[in-house]
Amino acid sequence: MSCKWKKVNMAKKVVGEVRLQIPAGAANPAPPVGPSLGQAGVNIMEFCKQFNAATQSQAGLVIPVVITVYQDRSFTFITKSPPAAVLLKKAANIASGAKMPGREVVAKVTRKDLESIAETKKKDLNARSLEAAVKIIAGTARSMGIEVVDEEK
Amino acid sequence: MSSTIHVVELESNLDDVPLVEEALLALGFDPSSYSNKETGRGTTYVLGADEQDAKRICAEIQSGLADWEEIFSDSVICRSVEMAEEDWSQSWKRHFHVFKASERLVVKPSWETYDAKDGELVLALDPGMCFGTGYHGTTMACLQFMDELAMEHGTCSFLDAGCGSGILSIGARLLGYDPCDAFDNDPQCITTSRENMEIAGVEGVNLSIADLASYEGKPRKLVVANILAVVLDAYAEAVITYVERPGHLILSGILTEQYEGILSRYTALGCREIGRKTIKEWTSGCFKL
Repeated sequence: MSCKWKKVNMAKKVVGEVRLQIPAGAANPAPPVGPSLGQAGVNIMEFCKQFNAATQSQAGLVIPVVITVYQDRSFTFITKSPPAAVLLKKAANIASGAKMPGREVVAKVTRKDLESIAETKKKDLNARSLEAAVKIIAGTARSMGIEVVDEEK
Repeated sequence: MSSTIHVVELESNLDDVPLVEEALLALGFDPSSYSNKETGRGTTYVLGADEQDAKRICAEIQSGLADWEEIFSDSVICRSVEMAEEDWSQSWKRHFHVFKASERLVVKPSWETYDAKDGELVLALDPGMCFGTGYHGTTMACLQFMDELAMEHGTCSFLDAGCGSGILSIGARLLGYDPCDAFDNDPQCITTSRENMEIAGVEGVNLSIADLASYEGKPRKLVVANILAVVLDAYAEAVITYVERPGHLILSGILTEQYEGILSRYTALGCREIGRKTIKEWTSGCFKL
C-alpha cells in the first residue's frame, strides 16, 4: 500500500475538528458526544460504533479523540496521547490534583519528568518546540498543585 | 421531552484549543471542543449538571485560567450558556436531504422517502466515515459526467479508482455500467462500500483493496479517479493504463487553481479533454483516450 497516497487520500477539504475525551469502548450519543458531533453533522451512531470497536481493548482509560469533519460531512478520527494532566498524575503518583492550586502543593515532579511528558505531548499541543511544550506542561502542573523540582523527587 | 443542558463555553483561537483543553483538564474538568476551520475560531465546552453548576464552573475556570494567560496566543472568552436537548442520535440527520445529483441520479439518505419521477434513478446511502456522500462538488461532478456519457455513448465497463463510500460505483450500476470494478487503499472504505451497496440494493461491483501503484485489474472503458490533484499528478502514468482504449477518464478531487496543472499533465500523456465542470471550489475533467 502506498503511504504517499494513504497520507493524502483523506485530505479533502476539512470544515471542522471535534475533540473529545471519551471512555474507551463507551461512546454513546449522550452529551458531550451528541451535541459536539451533531452540530458538525457527523453520523453519531457510526462514530460511536467505530470508536468503541477501535478502543475496546483499552477499557478503563479515557481516550482523547480528534474527529476531522470534511465538507460533505464524512469524517475520520484519530485517538491521541493521554492528557498531560493524566501523565502528570502518573509521574507524581497521585490520584488527583490540588483542590486549591497555588495555595497547596500535593506532589512533586522533576524537570526530567516534564521533558518526557512534553516529548509525548509536543505534537498534540501544537507546540513549536520542546521548550514550548515543557512550558505548557509546567503550566498544567502548576494548575494541579504539582511542584516542579530540578533534583530527584 | 423538551429540556435544557447547561454548558460553559470557551471561545479561543484555533491554535489555542488544545491548550485550553489541557488547562481545563488540569483544573479537573472534562472538556470537548469544536474547531471551525471556516471561521478560524474554536469553542471548548464543559458540561454543567444544572444552571447553578454551570455558573460555578464558569467562575472556577475564569479564576483558574489566570495562570495560563501568557501561554494563550489571544484572550479566551468564557461564558455559561444554555443548549436545547435533542435526540442527538437522530438530529445530525438534518444536514442531509434528498437532492438531484445529475439528470437521472437522485441521492437520498436511507432514512428519507422519495417517489422517483419517470426516468429518475434513486441512489440511497448512509453518510458515514468514508468520503463521498454526494454532497461534495467533486462527487457530484463525477455522477454528472457518468450520466452524460451513458446517455451519449451508452454504458460500458467501469472502474472506480479510490472508491471511498462506494457512491460512484453504486451510481454506475444504477446507470447500467457493467462490469463494475472498484478499489481503495483503505479497508474501511471497502467495508463501507459493501454496506452502502446493500442499502442501495445494488449488486455486481467487484471491490478490492489496492492503491494506484499496485492495482492489477483489467482496463475498463470508463475510469473515474476522484482522489486529489497531488495523487492524480504523482500516479498519472498508472492511471491512464487503467483505461481501455478507446475510452474515457474522469478526473476529480482537484481544486480549481490546480486544474490547469492536471490538464497539462494528462494532455501530455495523450488524454484529450472533452468536458469540464466547476462546482464550488472544485473542478473536474472528462477526458477521451
